[in-house]
Amino acid sequence: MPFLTQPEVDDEQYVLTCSLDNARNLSNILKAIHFKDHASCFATNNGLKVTVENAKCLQANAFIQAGIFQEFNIREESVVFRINLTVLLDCLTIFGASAGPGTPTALKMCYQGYGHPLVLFLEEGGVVTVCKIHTQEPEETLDFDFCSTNVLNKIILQSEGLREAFAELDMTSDFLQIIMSPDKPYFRLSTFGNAGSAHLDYPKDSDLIEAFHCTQTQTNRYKISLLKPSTKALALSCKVSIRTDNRGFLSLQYMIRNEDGQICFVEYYCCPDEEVSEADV
Amino acid sequence: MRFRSKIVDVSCLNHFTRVINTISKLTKTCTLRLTVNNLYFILTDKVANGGVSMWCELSQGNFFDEYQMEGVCMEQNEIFLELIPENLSRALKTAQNAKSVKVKLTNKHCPCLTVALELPSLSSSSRIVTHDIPVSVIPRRLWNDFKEPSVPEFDVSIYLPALKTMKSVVERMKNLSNYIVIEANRNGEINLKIETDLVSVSTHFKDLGNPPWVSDDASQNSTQEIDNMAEARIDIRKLLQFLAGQQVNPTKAICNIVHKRMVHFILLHEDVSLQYFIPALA
Amino acid sequence: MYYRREYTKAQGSVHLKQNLCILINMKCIIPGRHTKVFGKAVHSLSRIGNALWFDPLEKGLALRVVNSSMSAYACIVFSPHFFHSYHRSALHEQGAAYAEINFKCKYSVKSVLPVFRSLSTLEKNVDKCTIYTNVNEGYMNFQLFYRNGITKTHQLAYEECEPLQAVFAKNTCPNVLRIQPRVLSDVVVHFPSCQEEITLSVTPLRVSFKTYCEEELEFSKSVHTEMHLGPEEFHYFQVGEDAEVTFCLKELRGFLGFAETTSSYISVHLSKAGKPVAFSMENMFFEADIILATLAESEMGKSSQKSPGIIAGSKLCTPNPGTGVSNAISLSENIDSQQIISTKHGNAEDAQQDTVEETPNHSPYNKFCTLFFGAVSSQTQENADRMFCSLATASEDEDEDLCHRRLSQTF
Repeated sequence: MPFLTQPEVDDEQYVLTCSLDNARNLSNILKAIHFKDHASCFATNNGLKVTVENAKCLQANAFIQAGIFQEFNIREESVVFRINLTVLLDCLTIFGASAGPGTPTALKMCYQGYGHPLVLFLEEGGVVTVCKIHTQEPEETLDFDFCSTNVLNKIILQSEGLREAFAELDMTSDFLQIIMSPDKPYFRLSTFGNAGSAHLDYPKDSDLIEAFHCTQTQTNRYKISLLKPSTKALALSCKVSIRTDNRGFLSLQYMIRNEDGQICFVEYYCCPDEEVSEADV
Repeated sequence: MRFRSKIVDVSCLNHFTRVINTISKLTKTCTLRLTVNNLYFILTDKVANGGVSMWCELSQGNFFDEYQMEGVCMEQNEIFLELIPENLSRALKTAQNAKSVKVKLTNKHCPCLTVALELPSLSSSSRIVTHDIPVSVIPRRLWNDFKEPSVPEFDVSIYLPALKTMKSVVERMKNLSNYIVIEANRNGEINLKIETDLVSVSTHFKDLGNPPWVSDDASQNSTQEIDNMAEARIDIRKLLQFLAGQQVNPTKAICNIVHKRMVHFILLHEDVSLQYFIPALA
Repeated sequence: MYYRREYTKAQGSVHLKQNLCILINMKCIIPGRHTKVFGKAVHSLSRIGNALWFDPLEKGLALRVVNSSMSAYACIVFSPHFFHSYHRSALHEQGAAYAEINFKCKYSVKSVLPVFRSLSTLEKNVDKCTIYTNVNEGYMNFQLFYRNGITKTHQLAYEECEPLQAVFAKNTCPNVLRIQPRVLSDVVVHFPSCQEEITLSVTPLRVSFKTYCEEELEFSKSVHTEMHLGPEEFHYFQVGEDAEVTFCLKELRGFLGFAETTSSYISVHLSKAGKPVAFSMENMFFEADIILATLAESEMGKSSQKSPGIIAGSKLCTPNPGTGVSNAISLSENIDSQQIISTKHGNAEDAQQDTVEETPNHSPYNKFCTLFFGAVSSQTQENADRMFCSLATASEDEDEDLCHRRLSQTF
């Protein structure tokens, strides 16, 4: 239940105010992209988008649409700022990370604009915590120019089919090789590490695969250190879509169901380490 | 000097084990004082030097079915030992289904606290496991170092909120800062605050109540001062260590603050009391 | 199935001329219900040493390991019954008789363990596991078939080499005990996980396990733990000679981790300080053994002289590079040799006492099995019983171990 009795909360001064009855509906999604300290936050009247990037080759985005919030007010077309995601998550989970019995933590977030801190009000069982987090100059985020018309191969599968694979990836391998093909092996994940190689084959008729649209055999390699963090998103999601375009760019889209049954999306984009097409092999 | 004791009751054993586990999480070494009626676990790191101190008192009758203690001499019928509580905690760890646990003072190659567990076995006779835990006997001339601390002249005394909530909050705050300010007033409010360049966080607890200490000081009842906060800035790890070590919910939990000097915690259970002192930093 | 190739010595110990047909491969299929057991074996052996040997024998697939200080040797042999199918290598020459080549290889534990990492997944989701190779490929395939159609294939590089095998004459041990693995686990759980060595002492009255502490200084610092078991706790109890042996606990714990998953009894064979102690178990699916070196009497408590053939105190459990001190267990390659096996360094005389004398055409491995199954005559059992009744212990000091009093009361 909203609790606002703080005299300082004067909504007039804020360009962005939003509130959630359950702070975990935000913190859990953000955990799925938390592999670096810093994130860019981009708010419009559609909702909130949080972006984390790595090495100019990887980008992760979390979308929390306005409908997820109990209240979402924005006074400008768009509001952008950079923030320390590690600190933000520590604040959002101040009353504990796991889902405990009893009422969840309620959240109100307020932002006054450029140069001002992000203010969080969190409440659980009558105890109130106020956090003021320093914000930074927004930075340009990468545009991977990934569009559906260039997608050559697409597979949608249940996340449980990939979870163990990603959790047990051989990290002594430099890269993760992904083969997607209309013919055997259909969908193969391979690593080449110190002990030897490992290959995980998914037959296209496996009951874990919900959709299989592969038009061309593609073999692509991606730096394993860049993809490993996506394991978190995989753990939280129920479904994942894997797409590669004509350049070998990889798009992973995760469908995450929050505690209230609402759907949010997280996506990862990754550039290939080197392009290896069927012709070259 | 002689000490022999025995625990037979399972719930007493579990309770005793939990107390030892708590002590072992609070300090690496400590002093064990044995008297006719009580056991004490004492740590006097000298608050003046920036260290924490601890005083834990157990009434032996509530734990032991048999308890015989003969102290150093008739006039000073007590025993002081220095030990590593973790050793005791480990010895008790596998005692959950023990038929009995004996703790006695022995002299094997050196003075030891011997813990003997009587465990069920496949045959009619029991299995016996003994752990000889080395201790050192503290001579009488040093006993003055381990006097019971007096309750300090506090500025505010207040009941603590649920320790679990406090622990969650302090755990997160520890990721953000090395120091925490704890402040409280006579109106039942406690605030926990941290502040760094990156972030400031403050958590407000209210409606906690203030314990009624018997005092002749009439000025305590002045309503003008009821909202004034007494505060202390302390090392956050020491506070977290204290909160994280607690395994049982106390019947009463009190915090006394000496403004800018010290924080004093008192946890009371039916048969155990624990006091913990954390010095304030500049 | 048939290849015509030139093999060089580097690839294998095979010389091949033209017109020879060769079939060299190994293939075994582990059914789903046994995959977890196999995985558990790999986990347990990996706690003992850094390299794992796969040795396909006629009687089954042997997994062997030796610890870094050469004071522990463990071997688990999975019989053909364990597998859905078990096929090891063969060489046949056109027109000539069949001759067998054993394909033996060694892996780093770090490379095999990930294949069987998640035991719960192996139990729930794996339909079968296939291990196979073609020698000319240069790697071994470990393939897991999951219930939902997914296949995981690990291709592991290996090193071809003869495994080390311990030679230990179990039938010469005067003391033989048989006990449920659960009971042994219940004993070791009371010792701290960092405890390196443990002392096992046996008398006709009881069996004791004690912390071993090398230096006198340490007595006043570390906790000393003791636990006693009465003869009634054993399925079989034969103590011919009082003995007290000290060996590495960590490796035994690794072995017990595997033993606990089965319901077979563990047999313990020991003689005296300085001679190895063996823990073994078997059923229709596997035979598991661990042989541990023990400290010599002169080493216990003090470490002044180091007699050849024996590892001194602290060196028992830690690697001992280049000091020239001999291995305490006789380890040898090439077990089919008919020579008396001697240790690599040190006194050959000492070594002879530890070795098994070999009879022609009789692989010492078979003798190992014979020792294992050695029955104890009923007469020996009677003698043991008589010994119990005649012993009485007096205990005046009330601080004396309760155990003494308790046992004498039982008798």
